[in-house]
Amino acid sequence: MIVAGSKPFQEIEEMLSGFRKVCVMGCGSCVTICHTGGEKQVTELAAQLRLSAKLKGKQREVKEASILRQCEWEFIKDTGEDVQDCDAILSIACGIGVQYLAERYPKIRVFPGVNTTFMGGPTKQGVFWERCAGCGDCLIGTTGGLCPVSRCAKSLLNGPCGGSQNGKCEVSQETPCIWHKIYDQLDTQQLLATMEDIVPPKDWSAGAENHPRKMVLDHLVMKK
Amino acid sequence: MENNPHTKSDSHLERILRSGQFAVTAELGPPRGADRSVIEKKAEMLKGYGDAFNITDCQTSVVRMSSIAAGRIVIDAGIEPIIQMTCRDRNRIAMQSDLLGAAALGAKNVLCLTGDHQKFGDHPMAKGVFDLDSIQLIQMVKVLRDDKKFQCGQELKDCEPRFFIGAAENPFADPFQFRAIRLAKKIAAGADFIQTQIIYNVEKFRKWMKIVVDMGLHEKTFILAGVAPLKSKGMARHMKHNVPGMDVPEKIIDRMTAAAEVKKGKEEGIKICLEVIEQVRGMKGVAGVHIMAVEWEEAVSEIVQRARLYPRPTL
Amino acid sequence: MAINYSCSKSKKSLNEEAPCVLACPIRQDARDYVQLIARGLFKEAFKLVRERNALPALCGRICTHPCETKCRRNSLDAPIAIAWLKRFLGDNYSEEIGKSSGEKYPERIAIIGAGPAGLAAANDLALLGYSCTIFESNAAPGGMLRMGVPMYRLPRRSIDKEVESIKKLGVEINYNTTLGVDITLDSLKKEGYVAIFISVGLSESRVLPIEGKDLEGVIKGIPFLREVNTTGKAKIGEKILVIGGGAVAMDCARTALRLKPRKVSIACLESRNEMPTTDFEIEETIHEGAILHNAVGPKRIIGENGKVTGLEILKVKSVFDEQNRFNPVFHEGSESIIEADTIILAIGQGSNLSFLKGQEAIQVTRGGTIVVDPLTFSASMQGVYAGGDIVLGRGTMTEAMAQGKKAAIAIHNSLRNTVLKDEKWEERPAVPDLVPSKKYFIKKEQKHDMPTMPVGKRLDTFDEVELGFPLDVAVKEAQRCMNCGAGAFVDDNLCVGCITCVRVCPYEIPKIRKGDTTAYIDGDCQSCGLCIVECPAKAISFKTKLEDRGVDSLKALFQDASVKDMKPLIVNFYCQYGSYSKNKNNAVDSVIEKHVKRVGVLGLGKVDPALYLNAFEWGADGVLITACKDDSCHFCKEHEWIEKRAEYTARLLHGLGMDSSRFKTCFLSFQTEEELQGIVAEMVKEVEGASFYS
Repeated sequence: MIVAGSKPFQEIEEMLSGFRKVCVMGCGSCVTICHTGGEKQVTELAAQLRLSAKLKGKQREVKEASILRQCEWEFIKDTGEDVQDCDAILSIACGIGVQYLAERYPKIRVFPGVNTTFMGGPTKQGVFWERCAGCGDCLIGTTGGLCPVSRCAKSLLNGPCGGSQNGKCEVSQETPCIWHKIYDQLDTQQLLATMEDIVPPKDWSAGAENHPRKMVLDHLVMKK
Repeated sequence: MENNPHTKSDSHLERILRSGQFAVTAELGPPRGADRSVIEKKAEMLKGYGDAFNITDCQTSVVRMSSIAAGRIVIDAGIEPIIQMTCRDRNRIAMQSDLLGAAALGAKNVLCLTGDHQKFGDHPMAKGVFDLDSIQLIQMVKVLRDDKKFQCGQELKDCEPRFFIGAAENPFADPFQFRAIRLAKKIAAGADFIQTQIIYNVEKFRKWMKIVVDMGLHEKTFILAGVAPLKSKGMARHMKHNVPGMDVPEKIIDRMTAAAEVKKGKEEGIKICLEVIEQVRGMKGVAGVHIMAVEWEEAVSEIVQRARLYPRPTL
Repeated sequence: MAINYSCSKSKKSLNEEAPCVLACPIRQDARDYVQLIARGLFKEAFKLVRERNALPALCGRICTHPCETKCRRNSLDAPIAIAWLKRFLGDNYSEEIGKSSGEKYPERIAIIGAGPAGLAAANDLALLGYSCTIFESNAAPGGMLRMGVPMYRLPRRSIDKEVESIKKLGVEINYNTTLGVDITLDSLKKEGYVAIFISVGLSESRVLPIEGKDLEGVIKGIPFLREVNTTGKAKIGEKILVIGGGAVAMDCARTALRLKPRKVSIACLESRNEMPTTDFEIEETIHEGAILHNAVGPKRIIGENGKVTGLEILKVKSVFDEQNRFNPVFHEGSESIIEADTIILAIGQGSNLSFLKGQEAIQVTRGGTIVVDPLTFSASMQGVYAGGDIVLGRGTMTEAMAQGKKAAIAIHNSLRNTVLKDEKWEERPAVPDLVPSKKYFIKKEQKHDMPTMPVGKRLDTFDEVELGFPLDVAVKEAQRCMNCGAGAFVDDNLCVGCITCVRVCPYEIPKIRKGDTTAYIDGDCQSCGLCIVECPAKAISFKTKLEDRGVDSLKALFQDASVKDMKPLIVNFYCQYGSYSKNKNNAVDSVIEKHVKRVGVLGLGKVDPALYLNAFEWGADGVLITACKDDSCHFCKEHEWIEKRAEYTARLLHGLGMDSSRFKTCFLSFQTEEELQGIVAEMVKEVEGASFYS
């Protein structure tokens, strides 16, 4: 899923300063699961916004709304009632949802309430780790099912760098050295010899460095 | 490695190594400014105390003068540079471009590194590039030199850069068993010589060298053992705890601590360094030493002399 | 929400009912009123009870409480004292209930007998909008409750109080009016009663067809009890023997003991475990001095000069046969004699159907009960209905009441030609027994004892033996309830399958089962509410509207005009398991009185951090959370969450620029008023000194 982190409230306050009627819009998908953009968060953020206005003696009306997926035109099409008369929308969906809303409501200012961060998943309650960099050219099959592109601080392809010690990455003691894990995994699978092969430079052209990317499924595209 | 008159480059270092003599390289860090005289002074200080000198590439991810530019200043000062190049700050286009430029400026040696992570430096907010890793970089330099080809496959028609290709290896990183394999990969990729991580744990280094020799890797490349004089107990501790991939045994810390009490830290640091040189020199497969006296270039002359590695041979 | 993952399994869970409710003949909302007591909402609890039950204080004493037998806590430690909790409500509260509809129907209904069935029927018919008249042959209401049940078990003022509450609904009672003597079915019809409900009960004692039954000194249990209950005395000898092993036998023995004979014994066929009454009754009877002879059967009553001298008995081999029918078998040659000058027969009751003379159209059974259609309660004569013991033959008070309640609806449906249904009677699956592996997580808490009059004082009086729960014991006892079947519920349309509930539940109850896309929470849920707060999709809620996660209480608090004068106003969220809201401190000038409004919840794990923000938003100057310490927590692992959420909320408030002194969390072993006073005093001082901004 897409993992997003809440923006600092101060930043949200600055974005919304001057707007008297605001709609906080949640999304029922990835950001709900990572606890930063779901219905619960909408309620909490709305309460914060109202309380903050009250503390500052300002007028602010805050509406609360949430839809199943902000990244689907059909779903956001029906949000009209929620945002009618609003000066601003604070979307706490990922960056995709924010843009869909901005496109849907060209006359209303749409602001992001979260920082969309990475693709990953929870390893336990409240802890999320990156698992995929969307490089467009998946090589996990050769690395024991573990992704060095997203999980190695330097996206190395030929084994750990010189900073790997005790299974930890040089960047942070709480980050496992994924190449160490890959090594152990390939050892278990008796595939260590494959680590002797030199992996050639990766073709990054399908990856995030070549924006914007597009995918077309010809067999599903309808003419009209 | 056997004496082979057929050299791959015009490198003085290569000739020293191929002549079978125990080589000495040392590190020369470029300044955090545009003053060329700083380099000239350092070059003056180091001249004659090594066969070639590593010009670091924004080491520990701190912005410094370009290693290629500093390398040219060093050449002007009459000594041979080893241009260090990391994968952190440039993609393959920029790196190939820089390699051409470095060669045009007279550089003969290049040391291919992945590079420290930007997080450790003065610009932790910078985007790390890592388009290639160090092994792919080695291969890229070799392909430019031997196959006269760019990474895209197109031919390099005019004048290919002829570098003596270096790489680093850290015997103290994990997984330990993989460290010799990684060395083999680097050799296969095209590493002509290797400079190791700084050695304080001689026993672990010996263990690693044994694996390397057993695999016959010492016959395919020149291995220079990395050494560095400790300046103080503080530095020893810092190395142990903050520098990635370092292995500083407790007894080294103890020695530095004891020396610090009688205000003889520097002397003890040099003494330890000399002891390490003495030990690694006797090991099969070690073709030289690489002295990394970070921001303490003054120590190099003393070490080289006291290690009886002076004067350096001329060919 | 747009999508609908249908999942029949979850729907099923909605339908599960608490076993205590299902076990009750009148389907009393046992779980819910117990929960309300646990929250200190006594009036609400009473109203809930009263809406289904015309006689709460009486049921709380007399009922055989099958609810407790089925209580899921049985497998853990001991059942909740559901009946005693109802008694607590019945004794201390008397809120009036409203009629279920505003309708007022013209039909008049006659009810024969002011016992449990008649009173229940009259109550419910009155609530439906009918005018009812009860005709009672005795001079006071209650039927067997007054004539049979001894006063030391059921004070007469309790009967009067509850009958009074029924009369307030418009029910009239004509006393000293006996069917077949003062009135007849025909006379009632002529007077305009379109429906007659016969609930005369079983007023006669069965006799023992053995030698010596006519000797002087052999008396019947029911007349004996009636005599003592109406006059306070009876003619008995010095050596009393009660024959029988049921509740009436115990009543006879204990009543006899209060008449101070030399000795009271009981002889019954059943072994101690087989006796058809509650353990508690048997124990109290023995406790008060009666001698119990189990597994003995009467062979003959022996006497001299026409007077009883004793009972010859045989040892019992078995009471029931292989088909579990009553068919006692004795050891031959095991005769012995129990000496007695008075023998009281308490071996069962029978009917007196003399009022049916000339009414042959009304069909009766050989056992002397009236035959009715089990669904319509209609006897075989137009307009005549019957229910209670006169139909059941033998039943408990609540079974009789259930008959009265069902008959009321049946009569209504017949008169109105409608199909009104009491949905509580619907067949529903019971919440299954606790999964053994869950028992480890649930805190064991022993059942509270009923305070009783010292044995030494009991026999001098007919005053009530059981004294009733004091308020604090009632609350503590109610707080043992696991709220079976009313816990958290996942709305499949909202659940995003994020597994948060699965991870945070301290009891490891929510699951996403194979093939499902949403979480499922079964009946073992303990209602701690952690998952409800943590669910990012707000897909989980409590199944019952009675639950309050603090929202309703907080809203109600700000509707009270007095909060405006409280400066600074501190809202105290507290755990009711650690401290229920006692009556206000007498010291009016106390700092708590002046500055604190309290929001109690059964476990602070139910409270969403957003609610703390709401408190400020709605006007609080400070928010104080007082939670239980880890070791005293009712729910496991809640402490950690309360702490985390408090830190989280503090961060949010800090982000808004609020002074940190305005939000405090304290973990206390006992939330005593004294301790709270100190904390509040300090907080008030800090809040007064702080600006709203840090």
